[in-house]
Amino acid sequence: MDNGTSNSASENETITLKSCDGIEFHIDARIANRYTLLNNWNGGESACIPNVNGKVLEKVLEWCEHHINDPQLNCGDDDSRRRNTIIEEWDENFLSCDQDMLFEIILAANYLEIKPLLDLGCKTVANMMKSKSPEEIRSAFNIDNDYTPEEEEQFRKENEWAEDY
Amino acid sequence: MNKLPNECLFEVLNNLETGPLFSCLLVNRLWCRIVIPILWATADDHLHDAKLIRICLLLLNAEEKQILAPFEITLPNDRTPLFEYAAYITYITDNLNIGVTYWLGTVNNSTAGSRDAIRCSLIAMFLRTSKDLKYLKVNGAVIQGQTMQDLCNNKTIITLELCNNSFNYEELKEIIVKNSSLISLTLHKSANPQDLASSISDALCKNTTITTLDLSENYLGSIGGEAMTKILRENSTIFSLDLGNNDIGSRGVIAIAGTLHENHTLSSLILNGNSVGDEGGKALAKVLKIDGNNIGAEAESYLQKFLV
Repeated sequence: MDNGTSNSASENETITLKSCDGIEFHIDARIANRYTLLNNWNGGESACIPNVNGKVLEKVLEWCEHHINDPQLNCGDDDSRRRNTIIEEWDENFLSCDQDMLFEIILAANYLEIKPLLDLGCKTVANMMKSKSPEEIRSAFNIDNDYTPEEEEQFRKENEWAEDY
Repeated sequence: MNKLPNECLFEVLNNLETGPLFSCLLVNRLWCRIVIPILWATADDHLHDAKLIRICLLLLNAEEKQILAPFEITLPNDRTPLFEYAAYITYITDNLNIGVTYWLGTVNNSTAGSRDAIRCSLIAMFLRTSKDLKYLKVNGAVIQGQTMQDLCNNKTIITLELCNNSFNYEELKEIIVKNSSLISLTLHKSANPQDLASSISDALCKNTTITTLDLSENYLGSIGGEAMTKILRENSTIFSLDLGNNDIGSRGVIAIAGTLHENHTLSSLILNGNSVGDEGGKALAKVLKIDGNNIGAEAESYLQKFLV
């Protein structure tokens, strides 16, 4: 009933979050304040975040902590296409982990509705696809090709106008 | 990658430019289904490319091909496309005209008649198939009949620009009355501008969605200017009106100025190139004063000069 009590959390306040495998994190309350879902898990002795394990949650919270003073972006102006895919150096280093962890972070950010981290992860993956052939993308991400050769050829023809841009 | 739900894969692919999207489209069937709506949403950026026009021509149905029948145009006869690609296009600009001209060059048929017919058939196809078309510019094609009907019934287009076209006014009126998604309408340089203003003024009084109306370069004259007064009195949604280069003249401008104090929505009125004249300028300056803008004599005389 008093979800709004921590709205004006000060620097010294901490809250406790628990990963699905039982690891506790004591974090700056202002981090939870920025993201609704984190805030919802704040508090209760047995409260834990399902679906996100300690290793991943640690990374996610590390990112949140680093970006605690970022301006809050308005929702709604985030669906524009062809956003620039330039990534800040700190974020680039932060996400230059192995592919499995990168995808775990994206999944967690999506699940916890941490939109800027989700965008960042998606941009990072998108950058990994640039200037790769379809076959190179398949092998980089371990994806099966389920096209029939005829189908693949027809899709190639129907969209070849896009190839050179 | 296989763990990511489709919504995340969409977010990833939505960051990519056209060329990388092409590679992603060929990865597998799932990626194809996600990429095609992203790739084709902005296909207009490349509609100047004859290769893309060629694919669009494969999407024409029998009726749309009928438009081309009199012009002996050799259409591509590949297999029917695997997707109704044009369904995803969100805007059509002048690039269409450029692409059509290039494509006709590839089949050695460059008559003006062929060019117009292809534009019309493609616009008809876009209107029939597109589910998310928000902006449409038709420049110099004679659109009529079914296409005008489709514009009446269209529920996605927000901005419609019709430039250098000739209209059947009855069809145009129907669009203005029936279409309920249009917010911005441009009727620029009509090929048959006689009676344009008087023909559409009743329809515009009934319309409650259009906020931006551009009637520039239509030789509306003073009669057209007087016809605008009905719109200015009765329409209460238009806040931006461009009447530039219409030779409205002193008399027409005085009539327009006379209605402005009754209109409470208009916030931008463009009247350049209308031979406003001294009397017209005075009438406008008077409106500005009435509206409590505190315009002094000096500004008034400056405005008069500026408006002429």
